[in-house]
Amino acid sequence: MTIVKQTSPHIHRKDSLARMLIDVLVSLAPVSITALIVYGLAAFRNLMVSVATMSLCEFVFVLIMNRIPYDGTKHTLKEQFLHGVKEYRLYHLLGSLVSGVIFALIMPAATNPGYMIYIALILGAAFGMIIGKLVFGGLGQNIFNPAAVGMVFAKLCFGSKYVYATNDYVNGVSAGGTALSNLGNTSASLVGRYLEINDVATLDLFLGRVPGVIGEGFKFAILIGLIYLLIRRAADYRVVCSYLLGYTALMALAGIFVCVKVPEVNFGRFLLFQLLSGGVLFGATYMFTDPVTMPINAPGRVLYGLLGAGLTVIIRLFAALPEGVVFSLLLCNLAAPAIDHYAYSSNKFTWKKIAVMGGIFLIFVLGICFGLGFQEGVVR
Amino acid sequence: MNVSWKRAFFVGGFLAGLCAVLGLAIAGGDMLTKETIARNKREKEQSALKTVFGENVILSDAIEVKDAEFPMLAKYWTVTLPEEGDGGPLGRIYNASGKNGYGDVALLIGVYNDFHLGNVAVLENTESYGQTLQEEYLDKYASAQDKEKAAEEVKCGATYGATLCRDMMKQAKAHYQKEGNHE
Amino acid sequence: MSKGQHKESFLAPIWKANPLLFGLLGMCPALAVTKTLEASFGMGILFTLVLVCSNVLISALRKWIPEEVKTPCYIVIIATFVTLVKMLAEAYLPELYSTLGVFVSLLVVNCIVLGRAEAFASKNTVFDSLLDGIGNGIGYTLAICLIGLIREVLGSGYLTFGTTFTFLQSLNGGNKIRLFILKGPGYDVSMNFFATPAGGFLVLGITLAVVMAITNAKENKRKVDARLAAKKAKEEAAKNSAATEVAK
Repeated sequence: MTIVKQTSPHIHRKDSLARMLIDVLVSLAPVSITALIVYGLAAFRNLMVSVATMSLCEFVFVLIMNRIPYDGTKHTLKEQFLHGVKEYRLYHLLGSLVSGVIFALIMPAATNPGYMIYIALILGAAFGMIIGKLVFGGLGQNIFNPAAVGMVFAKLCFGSKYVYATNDYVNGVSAGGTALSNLGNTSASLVGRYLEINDVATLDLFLGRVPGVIGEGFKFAILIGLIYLLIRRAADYRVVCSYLLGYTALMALAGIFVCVKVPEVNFGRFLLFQLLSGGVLFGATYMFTDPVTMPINAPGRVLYGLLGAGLTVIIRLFAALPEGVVFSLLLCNLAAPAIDHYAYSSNKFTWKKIAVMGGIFLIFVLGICFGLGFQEGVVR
Repeated sequence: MNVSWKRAFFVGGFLAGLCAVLGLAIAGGDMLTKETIARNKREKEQSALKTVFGENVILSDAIEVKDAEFPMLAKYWTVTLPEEGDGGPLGRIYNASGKNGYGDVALLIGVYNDFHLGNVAVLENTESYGQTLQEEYLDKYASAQDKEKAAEEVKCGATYGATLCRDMMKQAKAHYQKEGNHE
Repeated sequence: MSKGQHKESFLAPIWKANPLLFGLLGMCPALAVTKTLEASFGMGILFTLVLVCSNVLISALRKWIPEEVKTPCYIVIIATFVTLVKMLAEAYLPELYSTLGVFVSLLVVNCIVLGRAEAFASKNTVFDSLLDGIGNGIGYTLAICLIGLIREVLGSGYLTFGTTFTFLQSLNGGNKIRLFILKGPGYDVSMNFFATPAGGFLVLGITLAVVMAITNAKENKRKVDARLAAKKAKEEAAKNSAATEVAK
């Protein structure tokens, strides 16, 4: 039996880790190209800064981890550097590239005092890489998605200075709050505020003509990336399917409540709004499918997607936070090691596991019913 | 456990003696610092009174609230505008205090003549979430234009404290309305 | 105890046996009051007062406190001193008292105070307990001041002196002294994350990790040096015996 010294993620294919990361980079290409077209030089600058910061952090980490251990003699810095550089592989570079591109795509294009975007990008990328990934051991050892950690940190620290502008193909630059953060201005009731979605055309959401982060724009590009990842089997279809189907089902349930209480809101329009606004498609394609932070066994992955869908729905409906996807992603990352516990992590779909998944789905259903059921509609 | 009478008496006696001595120490400390604490409180109240409606107003003496329906209100001052300006009544400042599981909160609440809420000054905030209460609720209330609406937005990181403050403000307003209709 | 042991037991809690960084005790105030440097320093002072007084009294009474009820006795004594310190703080340092709020009362169940009382003061003389109390107090104050400094600089951007210790305001003509570091007139790169409880956890964790790394590196260096010295001594001995054989 050959024992191969290899880092997680473990794929039972002949392909190597580098090949998988190259697949993810290729699938990120359509979204990046769209962002570059719409936002121009700002997107290019964001991508470069974020990728450079994350790669630098990872490189220094590899050097530090592979320094010559203390043996009584003093080694020059150059000796230490050469000793460590030998351990730097292609997959380190590709891993930091992937995280850097994803992080840049979930950050806005500009900030209110112009220089703040550099601070936000550099600090967010460094924080996400160091605290989200390197502290846990580097590539393959992280519990949390480093791009998500960096984005949350940057948003908490500098979020009040973000400027969400979009370069409409026809009308030029328009700024404003994102589509999700504009909700809630007419009525304080949780269902009444969906009257605002009548102001946003669904086609605008799909084509990315609404203000948002630079990766959110052209949803078709995200779908192309998703199909590419699924074909190349670099993303597990179970997570994507369970996430998107669970999200649609729970949002349909919420839509029933909203459309019954507020008759002006169209059901199909509500559903499409919830699917296309914010980072749902982006998160489902690139962040939930990160193989390092997912559970390893198949039923665990279905549960992971379901949990993510439920948490995203709850955060979106009741907490009115536009970043519901990222927070639910981090919470599911927290749950992944528990889902992988050796006591029940086999690849078989037993009835008990299906019952557990159904139970969790039922809890979310009940939560939505009780939460939205007692809301009044719009007070006229 | 078999304890001899002598031992039990000794232990009990020792505990009683210890508690007595320490109780005397606490009483002594209380006697030493009581006046300073009371004076600090008075000074804080006086300086906080000036921030509610500004400096250019005339405050009456403190009048106690004896109504049992309003347990959170302690006393109030009637505020009138100075003679050089318009003269005439401006409103009232209520000294309200309440406590919940997290600590005590004491506020000076200003209510205008037409029963609108005015500025609020914090006298005491020993809630364990006091910082959050100050930043997320009281600061936002201070900078809001529509005070009634800002008072209702209690869902911050310190919801219980904010609910307590809102109840105090409601009581102040209700008491003024009740008394003001007699004036 | 000899004079050298006295010095050792006084200096040990400041670094080698720091109650917060190595004992991992007293973390509740370390997370809650370290939003600003001044509040941390104030908490450290109050903590030292309580610790020293309770250590001295418990040590003075150690021969009479009955074994069966020793923990209630310790708690009563500590609670008395906390009450006295609270009254003094409320009278003479009212801003500090209102900043620290409920966490002054929590000193009653602070692990360090009770732990030192049980482990040290009940077994040693009054003078030793006094030194131990002062040492632990200084060590804890330094540790939480470090965390408070990091959190205040990163989280709010400026270092403010004079909010809780108002006598410092007289140095600046009645205003608070403010050092603009990350935030100032015209620029603002402070990271509000570190002023929140999440940031407090993170700073505490990173501080503990750095301290552990330094300690482990020193320990490792000492072990490797010892091993190398032993090897060298063996080689020297072998060479000497070979030289004496040749000389014979």
